Amino acid sequence: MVQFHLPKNSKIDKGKTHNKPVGKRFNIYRFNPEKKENPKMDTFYLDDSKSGQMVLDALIAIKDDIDPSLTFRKSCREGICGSCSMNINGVNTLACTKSLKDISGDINIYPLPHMPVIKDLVPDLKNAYKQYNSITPWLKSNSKPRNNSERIQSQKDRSKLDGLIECIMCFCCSTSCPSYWWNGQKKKNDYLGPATLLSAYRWVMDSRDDSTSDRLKQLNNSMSLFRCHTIMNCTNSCPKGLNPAKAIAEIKKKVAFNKN
Amino acid sequence: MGFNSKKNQIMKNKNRPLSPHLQIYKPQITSILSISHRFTGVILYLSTFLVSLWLFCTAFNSNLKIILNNFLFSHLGQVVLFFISLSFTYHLLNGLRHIIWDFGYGFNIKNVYLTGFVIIFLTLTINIYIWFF
Amino acid sequence: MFNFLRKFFSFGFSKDGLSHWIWQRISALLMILIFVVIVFSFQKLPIAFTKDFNSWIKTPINLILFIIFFLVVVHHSTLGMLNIFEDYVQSKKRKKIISTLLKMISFLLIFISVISAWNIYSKIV
Repeated sequence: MVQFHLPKNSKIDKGKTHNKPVGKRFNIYRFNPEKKENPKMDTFYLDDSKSGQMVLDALIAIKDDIDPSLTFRKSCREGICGSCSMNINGVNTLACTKSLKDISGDINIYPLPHMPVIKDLVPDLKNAYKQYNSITPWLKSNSKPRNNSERIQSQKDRSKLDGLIECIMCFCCSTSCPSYWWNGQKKKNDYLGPATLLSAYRWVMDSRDDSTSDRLKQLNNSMSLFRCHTIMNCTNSCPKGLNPAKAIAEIKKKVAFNKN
Repeated sequence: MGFNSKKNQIMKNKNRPLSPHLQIYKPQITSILSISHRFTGVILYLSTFLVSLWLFCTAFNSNLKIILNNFLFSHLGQVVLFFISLSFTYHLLNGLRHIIWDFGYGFNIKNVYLTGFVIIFLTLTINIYIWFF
Repeated sequence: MFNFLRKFFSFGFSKDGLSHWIWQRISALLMILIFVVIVFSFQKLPIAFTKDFNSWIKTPINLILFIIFFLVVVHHSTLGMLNIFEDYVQSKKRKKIISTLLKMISFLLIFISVISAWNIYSKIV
């Protein structure tokens, strides 16, 4: 059976409160790999004047002023790098684009769900990248480009890639998908997850790519693609407003009509 | 080699915890309706047993049929039938929604919520109509 | 013999993802279609069902309709159950055992129901 509850070493203990209760309350998931302790929930308080606009700003403020050991990924702080994806009040999103104003009450922050945790809010994405690699996310063409220059694409063909190439690989969608939780991290032949399948569809749709049929054939097994049950959690959580569920449905149609 | 293995030891913490999932993820219309679809599907599969039994009794064993009919018209039996009809209506309507999705329509998150609420409403009204009017 | 049994039990349940997925949709659509026909062929539902059924099934068309409906229902639900096991059961061995068991139960269901329906049909009251 799939494990619906957390393994022994992952049960969350009560942590400590770091400062006086003034302002907004942040409950943050902490795990220190150097200590042999279970993960715990620490509480921080942050005044509105200090917390800034976004959840990421607040996290940075906490790291600067209260606990420098708080660990999270961040880079662009404007929603284009996909580093600061985490679970904020039960929904996966980017900390840098989630406004504090939209949240009333406590702010609970966890790492992306059902992932091995390296430290605090930093999950191990190795497996997700491996799956991304498995769909060969690069152009595979049988011909050489004319005059050794770029490959030309009509505007119409290019517009088919809209809503696909905007993906920043933050894996908010994949880690929001229950199907990905249960079947996304198997040793071999696992469910690829919405993020990777969206990219797969991006290459299937590319008019310059010649291996469409092979790409589709690769997905036609019981696991890679067809563990998607159109739960729609992915589309619901995408911080970029993309629609992985629709992309997956389109791939299913393409696989159904793939002749080779 | 030695360096690598040492590095691997540091990088590969076997004790890496699994981040919480079902425990913390917000229940949403999307996931709730999806798991309900599955749950009602299982109920319906089990109720084919009941149909099969009923047919068998009707054909071969009139004594058993009387017992079964008595059960079905008792309070408990009526509750069971109510839940079966509820499951059936829900599974049928949500199944239609799934088929519409499979043709590539209605993926807009607004429509997902709208159709979700519509089928909840329809399921309830149809069942209330059948059972109480 | 064993080979025949294996073929028999894997009928309609191909291993690749696509055919499983497509058959689930096709059976769903078929079910909806037949269900609508059946509903309209009854005057009252569902309270009258238990009483009307015996007389309803006595016409050959209705008997065939019912048997097809039941077949499709069991096929669809077995596919669905297999999908659930595919999701939640991790060990391959256990998955195989459970799926075979499930298919046997489904065939038994069909067998009992079809024989019973035929019996009700052929009885002259």
